Amino acid sequence: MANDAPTFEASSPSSALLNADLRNLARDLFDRFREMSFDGVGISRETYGLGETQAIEIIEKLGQDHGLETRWDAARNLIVRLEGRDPALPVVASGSHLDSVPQGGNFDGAAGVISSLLALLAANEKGQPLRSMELTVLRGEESAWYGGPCYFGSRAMFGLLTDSDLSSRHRVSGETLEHHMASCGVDLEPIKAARPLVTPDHFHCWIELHIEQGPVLIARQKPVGLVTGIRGNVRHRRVTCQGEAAHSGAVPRWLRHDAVLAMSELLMRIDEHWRILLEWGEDLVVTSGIVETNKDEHAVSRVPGEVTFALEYRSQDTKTLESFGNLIENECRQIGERRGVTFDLGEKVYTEPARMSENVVSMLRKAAETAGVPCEIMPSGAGHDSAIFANQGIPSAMVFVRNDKGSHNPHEAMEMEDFFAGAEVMARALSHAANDEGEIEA
Amino acid sequence: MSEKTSVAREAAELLLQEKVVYTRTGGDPFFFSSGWASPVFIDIKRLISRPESRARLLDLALERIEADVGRTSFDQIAGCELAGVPFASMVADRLSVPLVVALKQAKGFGRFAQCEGDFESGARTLLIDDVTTDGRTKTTFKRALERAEADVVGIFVLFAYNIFPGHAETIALTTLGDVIAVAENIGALDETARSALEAYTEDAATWSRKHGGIGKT
Repeated sequence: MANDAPTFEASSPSSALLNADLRNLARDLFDRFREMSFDGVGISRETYGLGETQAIEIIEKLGQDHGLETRWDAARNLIVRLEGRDPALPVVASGSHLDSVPQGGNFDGAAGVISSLLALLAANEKGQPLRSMELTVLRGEESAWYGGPCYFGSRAMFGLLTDSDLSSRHRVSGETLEHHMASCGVDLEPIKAARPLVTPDHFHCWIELHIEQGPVLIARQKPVGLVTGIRGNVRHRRVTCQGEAAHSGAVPRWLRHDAVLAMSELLMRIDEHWRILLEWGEDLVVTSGIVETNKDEHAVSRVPGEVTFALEYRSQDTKTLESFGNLIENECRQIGERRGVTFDLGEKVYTEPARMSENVVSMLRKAAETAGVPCEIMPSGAGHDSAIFANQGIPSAMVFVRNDKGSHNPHEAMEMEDFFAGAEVMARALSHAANDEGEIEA
Repeated sequence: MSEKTSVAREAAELLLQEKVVYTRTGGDPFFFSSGWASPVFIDIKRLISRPESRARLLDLALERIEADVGRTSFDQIAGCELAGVPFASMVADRLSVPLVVALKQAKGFGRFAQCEGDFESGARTLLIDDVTTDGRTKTTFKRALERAEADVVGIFVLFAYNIFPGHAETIALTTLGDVIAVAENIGALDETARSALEAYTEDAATWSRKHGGIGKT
């Protein structure tokens, strides 16, 4: 539990960038978001939906109240800008998303948006920075609403949305993403033409704060994590193992081509490879989340002739993903030969891993040291908009905040003290970057 | 009788004397891990626990390797996981040559994922196992070594059934045919067992299929 963790020496209020007023503002914002989006169980703010728009408008209003410039891009991402002394220089950017999964938690996404706003306001109080600073509130990060595709706002920014994204259908309304985007006032013309709304050289660096969605920080008793990379993944939604159906009593072992046993052997082989690769220090997670025999023909007394299953593996390293893929193909072939079955891996969907910038991470690490915030260097198992920024060549990094109950559920449990620790680290790093007090190169 | 045959017969006699030739003429047959049904099963690995017979078997094996492979045509010995390893170790030790182990399954990736030991790429390698049925597992071991960039110059086994289709090219110290011939001479197997073995050697595929095993590779 976060409560049992040893407390760290938080920076004294006098030296902290985030003063008491800013902290109260953050508490107030989390409360307002919770009130407006509570659905009876958790928080629901649909991707390209009204709740998401209203939450973003709250940020817009607050920015304007504090004298910051605001504008919406063609994809209806909101940009809040603190103009620098030299507005021509590439900007120091941060942000996150405000949509949520159905019955989700209040911190996933919102923590990143609120902490970015705090960073801009804190920097503004310190005096005008050299570089402009921007908070980007990204639309549509979650994959839950449109059956898989996600990162719509950030991908639209860089001209990466596809026809297949735009025609994917909402889980409840059944309408297309394009329809819901249009309802939110999105200008679809440049997006359909895959024209970037902004170029990577607009950015000096990008930092996103997010709650951790795994158990690492709780286990290691650290309030804050600094992310080194975001795992890419390979997904086979439907692998088919084809054997031969037979009577379960009459056919002896050696004459069987049992699809389920072959699949089991494959999965156990994959598990064994995984174990060894971890021993070698590779970054890898493997999951088979769906396994099905055909219910029209399966029976207790029938040797299964066919089984289908899903296979997903993630790694920070492109080479590991590639080699692991070859390994799986090889195992399929060997097990297939031995057991007289065939494996068809089906469609393969690949999402590229993203490396965070060492310079930005080291800037964050220094900020954590001076703020007296203990932090853990770690990979991100889950995907984030920041991967899109990093893969555009923008020096990027992420700050994770300890969170006890995972995410994508109403029980997210982030302690406000941990949030302020993470926000302080990010605000300091952004302020350094905006005043060129640290080296950043792509 | 040729030199080769006499070495093979002597080895077969050793196996019979040591009672590692098992036969089953009634009831369920043996099943090899490749799926073949068989009335005979040679458990040659038991000999590792008997130093005198082990040494004698090794003498014969070395004689055969010298004659059929030639000591100068390989740089190292590879043993097949698991039963091939003790025999390969003893051969490598007698000859004072390097030893590696070929594994059944790869562990992770990289050149040495499917073997233990270390060697230069291109090392000429003699692969050794205790027994072969249809040679399929030998292919796996050979591939494992080739993946580690070894040059596999030959496969040597102590015993080969030599009756299955799709047999890979191997050099065997002795075979089921030798065992049957010697058994006849020394009266080691009873009449039922011997005729079952003869029927088996004539058409192993049919015999296997009739007894619930696979019928082809």
